[in-house]
Amino acid sequence: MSPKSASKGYLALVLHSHLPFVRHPEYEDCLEEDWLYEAITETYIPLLRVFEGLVRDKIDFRLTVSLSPPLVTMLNDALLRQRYLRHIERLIELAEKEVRRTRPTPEFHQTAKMYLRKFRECRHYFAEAHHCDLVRVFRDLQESGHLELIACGATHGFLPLLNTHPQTVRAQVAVGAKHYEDSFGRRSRGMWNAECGYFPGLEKLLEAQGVRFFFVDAHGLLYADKPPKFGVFAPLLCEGGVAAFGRDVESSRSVWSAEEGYPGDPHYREFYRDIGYDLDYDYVKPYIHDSGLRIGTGIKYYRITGHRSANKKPYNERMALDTARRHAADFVKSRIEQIEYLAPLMDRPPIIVAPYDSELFGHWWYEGPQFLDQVFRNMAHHQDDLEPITPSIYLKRHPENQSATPSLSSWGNKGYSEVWLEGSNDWIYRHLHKAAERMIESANRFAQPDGMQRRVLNQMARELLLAQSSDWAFIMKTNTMVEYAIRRTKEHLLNFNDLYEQIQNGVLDEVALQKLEDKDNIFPHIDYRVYSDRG
Amino acid sequence: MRAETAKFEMEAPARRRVKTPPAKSQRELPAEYGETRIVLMVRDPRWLFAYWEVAVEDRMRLGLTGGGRSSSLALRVYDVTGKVFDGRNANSFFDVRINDYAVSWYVQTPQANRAWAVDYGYYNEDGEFVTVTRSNSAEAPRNGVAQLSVGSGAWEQIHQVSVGERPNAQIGIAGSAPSSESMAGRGRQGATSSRGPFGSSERRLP
Repeated sequence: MSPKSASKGYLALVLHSHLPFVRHPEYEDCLEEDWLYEAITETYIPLLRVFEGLVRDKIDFRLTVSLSPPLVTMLNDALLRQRYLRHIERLIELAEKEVRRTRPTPEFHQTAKMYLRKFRECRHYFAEAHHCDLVRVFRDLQESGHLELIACGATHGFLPLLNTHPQTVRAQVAVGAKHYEDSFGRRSRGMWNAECGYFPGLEKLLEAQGVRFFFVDAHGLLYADKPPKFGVFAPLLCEGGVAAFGRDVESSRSVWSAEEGYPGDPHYREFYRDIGYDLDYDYVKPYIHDSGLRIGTGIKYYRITGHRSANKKPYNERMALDTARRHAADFVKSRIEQIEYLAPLMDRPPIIVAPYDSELFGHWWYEGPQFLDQVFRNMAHHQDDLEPITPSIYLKRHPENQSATPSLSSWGNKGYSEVWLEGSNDWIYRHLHKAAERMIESANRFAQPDGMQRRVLNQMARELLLAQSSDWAFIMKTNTMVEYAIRRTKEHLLNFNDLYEQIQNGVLDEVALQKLEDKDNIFPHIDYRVYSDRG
Repeated sequence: MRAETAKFEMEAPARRRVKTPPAKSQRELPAEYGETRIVLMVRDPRWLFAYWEVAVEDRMRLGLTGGGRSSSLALRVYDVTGKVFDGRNANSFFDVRINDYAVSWYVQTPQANRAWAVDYGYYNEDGEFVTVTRSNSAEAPRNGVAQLSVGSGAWEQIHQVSVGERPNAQIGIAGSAPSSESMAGRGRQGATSSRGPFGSSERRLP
């Protein structure tokens, strides 16, 4: 796509894609691995198909997508790919039964056929069309100039609360940047910091990795040490020239908000009613958890109507897609109105930065991928008013920006660190910080390790990084799957402590080490010296 | 439940008890690391979090457990903004009484955009505060726009749009007025649905 004269304003959509590293070869059927399988079926494949459809129809679109290292690692993992195939094949089998079962009830039959069609398409897309390699599809869309893929911290650690040991923040950033380079064959110009977590000074660690931009929530920019002249509608340049882009509140609210957001429309599919809970136990048993626990299967027949089960109305795909089209038109119209209001007040085209979790689209908001499709198709008719852009292209066109340092902030509830630091999860920090201190101490002490020591030190780094995922603290707070989050935090810290003890005593257990290396196999090329003071 | 928790949601709320088989070992993390230290963290512009440990030898030596000084424990919270804190040069301080079984505390401060350090200690017989261990310094953020310049008219207008208050804006499906019942059906809690400080459910600035 060739550069063109600037539009009146820009829209920078950012989709942040992340799931915590969940891989349990030791269990045949692991509930938490379903996070990945559901996201592949409902989010990643539908989004990729939307993007490919836009390319095919020659729609001029651009957006930024971050892919976290745990997600990329899981998508590239042979065991998880094989398990995904088993998962989607079981879903197809269930959907076939559903098509037969619903024949007497036309209002459900149509939807059953929709699921069967979509699951078959997913299987074909994954296995035949792309040989199980979804990361490759993202990479190709970057090569064709439609996506800008950006890096993410190593394990999605929430950096403002890790900063008691700046080396661990440096390691999150450096290992994440290196992982991106290994995956995509070039350095990332941007970085998604977990939960938009920012503290003043982070820019120096980002700059050291060649990162040129990142994102903060609106108040991170607005409460900068100098008031931003153009609000959140132009980036600020931090020390070293790293650009901080601020999240637009209005476009964010129209998707996230429970009261006003599009996803609450009564025509959209309801998330909770699922045949995994609703149908005869014996009928669904082969498709729920091995233990017999009822879980969501992904087959849901209702739309968002009435909170009492009896009042729920059947889902109608056509009506839902019409609604998504209408909402997409409204979204584009509102952005153009924003631009029209702002443009005369500024000396450059305003940029509206709209970051969302990828998994919101498709998994939570079932019609979300079609909404995005329609947003880009609709924007194509309004290119002079609103142009899709990525931060890299923006910075190329508008390299001069106001200098200031943003304020500590996150996009979590209330805007700071409270989601990850409150009664349910504050106990983890004394252990995480202790492990950080021990990691730094060991990295400094073992500058010249032998082969076994190096392996132990590298595995210590992996266990520490895995324990630092912001997901665990988040899950503890939000009260879903809490036991799992607690167990994972403890497990990685205990593994770390064992390894630390071994390296202290000089008594190394190679069998146990090998087991950990096989299980927690993220970052195979990690170099623990990233934690040393010389790192 | 909020949209952002949905990716971790898979069980019916009433059936949340059962889970994947437990790990082979049910080992616990150490209760203590055998050292005397306090660490200070920032939760938000007005709240700090401190956690600490006093090594058992120090507790015995200072009489901090069981009777004795256990009722005279306190945190001394220093405003160290703009200082390299040496224990004597704080801008001001205040004390928070704590109990002897606490190992962490949330402290509300009087002002945002200040740097803080905290001592864990006790009052001696003369009522003087004695420091047992001192924390790192930590900077809490601003909770408003930096007052370095008065905004122009254009700045005011841009700022208003930046906080999501564009005049005459219709957000999302507000116009089509979905019933509140339908939102309840999604199980999301209005009070926690917004992610940032300018969210629709809490329009106040942080």
